[in-house]
Amino acid sequence: MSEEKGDEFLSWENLIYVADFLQASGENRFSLLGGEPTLHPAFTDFVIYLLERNFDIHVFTSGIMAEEKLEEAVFLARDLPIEKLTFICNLNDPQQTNTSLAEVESVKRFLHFLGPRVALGFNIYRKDFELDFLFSYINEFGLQRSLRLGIAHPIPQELNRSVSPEDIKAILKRLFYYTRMFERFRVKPGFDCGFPLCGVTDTQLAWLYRYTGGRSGFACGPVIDIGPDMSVWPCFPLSSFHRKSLFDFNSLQEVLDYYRRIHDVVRCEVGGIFEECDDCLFREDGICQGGCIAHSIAKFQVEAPVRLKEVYL
Amino acid sequence: MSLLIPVCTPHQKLLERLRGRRLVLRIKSLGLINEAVVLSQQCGVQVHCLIVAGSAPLEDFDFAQEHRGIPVALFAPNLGRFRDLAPKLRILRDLNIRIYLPLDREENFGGLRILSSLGVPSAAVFHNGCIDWEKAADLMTYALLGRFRHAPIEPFQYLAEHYSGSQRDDFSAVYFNDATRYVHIDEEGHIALSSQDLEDQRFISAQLKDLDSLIENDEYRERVEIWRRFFLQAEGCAYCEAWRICLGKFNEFRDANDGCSAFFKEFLEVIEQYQILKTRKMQPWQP
Repeated sequence: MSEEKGDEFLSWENLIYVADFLQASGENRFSLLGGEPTLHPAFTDFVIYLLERNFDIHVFTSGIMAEEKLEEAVFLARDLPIEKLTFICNLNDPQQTNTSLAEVESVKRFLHFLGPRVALGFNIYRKDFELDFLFSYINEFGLQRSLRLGIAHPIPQELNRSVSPEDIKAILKRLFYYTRMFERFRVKPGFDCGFPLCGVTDTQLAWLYRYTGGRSGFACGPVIDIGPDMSVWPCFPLSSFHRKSLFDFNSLQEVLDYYRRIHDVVRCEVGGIFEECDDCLFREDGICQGGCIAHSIAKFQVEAPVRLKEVYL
Repeated sequence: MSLLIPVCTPHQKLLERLRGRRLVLRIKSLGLINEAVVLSQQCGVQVHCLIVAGSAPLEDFDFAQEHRGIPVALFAPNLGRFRDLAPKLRILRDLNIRIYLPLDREENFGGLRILSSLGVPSAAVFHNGCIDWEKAADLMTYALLGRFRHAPIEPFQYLAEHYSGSQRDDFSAVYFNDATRYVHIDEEGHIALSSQDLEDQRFISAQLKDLDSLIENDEYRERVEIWRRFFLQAEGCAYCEAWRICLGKFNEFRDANDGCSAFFKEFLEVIEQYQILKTRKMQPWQP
């Protein structure tokens, strides 16, 4: 809803265009992301409008918001079925990131008032991550019993903090230390995109399958982000990759097909994040996508330009 | 009896003099709807439409289910806070109402789209030349070619439905200012040919009894054919290919960029596209 590097906000006209575009494509889910979407001056009005259009709304937030905004969010949520308005709150470990007390209090206030509507998300960017505080929050504030887990992927040509392919197996190993905690707190883990199948053992996979009913996958594909200026890109790490205008497409399916085709081209060049991905049967069969494609694209940008032109920014 | 529809206030003596006719009644608030309808019935006139011109934002109006079916044209300066309007949308959608918002306020470009996308018929009011023509073109394109179903936005829908390509079309009727369809009458029975004329007390007749013979009146004919004057000068609107749908309404406000001309030319193209899409049918194989 707002550009991270600018102060441009999504306009009413563009919001309505996107709503039309999605509904004409048969989509009834509308995700509001940022920056911090609740900072948009018309955030509350946008949510009310989208509810009037019968969308199920997912708001990705840090949970840090002014009291007035929180009151508005609580007001919005009253009497609404949970599935109509859900908040996905991405949290950082307050101890590992030295989060200020004021921010922690703000998050807790948010979780306190909107608990049952909140699903937590956690982005892993270091090997020694801790999940304990998330279980504690879920329990204390009665949050949804799910945890969206993502890995920080590289953003090509940007120096963001990300997890290297070599560290992913160690991260997954650490993640599975928490299986008992997941079970005791009845929290279902959900893998975001970019996890490789070979990072887990058969035993871990069996647990994951049994515990989540096979809902966790090892995918990497376009999810489609739309900016305030109506530009589209395949996902957050690839925000500079083959940016197009939403006006170039007639349906969401067309956008997805466009970026899937480019993903296929990239995977023709390099199978996945590991060398073994090239001959991997599971990848060929589509059971695993070979980790996040941003790793490959980031590498292409710093080597000799000898590959298919589509793989470059 | 003349087919011209008088636009007037619900003044009992006046309505009695207009017995048997179809009228447009101007009232000051939605709260006066019932009173106006009852008075019309008592005076034996049929209500074509009620005009409510308010100075408060749309969110401040109190809409009532009991007004369902009564045709209303509601003029408001803007929507107001959407969150305060939203609880009224369900009723608003049930009413036979069209919301008029002026385009000299930038927020109303969004406001009209909001209403339309939520199923409320609306109309853009071109008060004067202070219009962002590019935004108006976006709105018009949305109104006619928007990809998802939505309520009509006038005057775009009106022209798209009426334009034949072979003759001029006037969208003034959307605002009750087409003198071939509406005349404006004050409490004393003076007749004017537009709401502005009535306000300025520029009457075409001072006697209500002239109503039925008005179309034979030379001055009336001259006013109705006033568009001809554009072709007495070999400049400006006379050369604009889109004149046939705007009829020179923005002549005195034309800027150096001819914003209105570009807008109406684009409008013509969009109307053509709209009509093609509307008439395109599945053509099965032919033997």
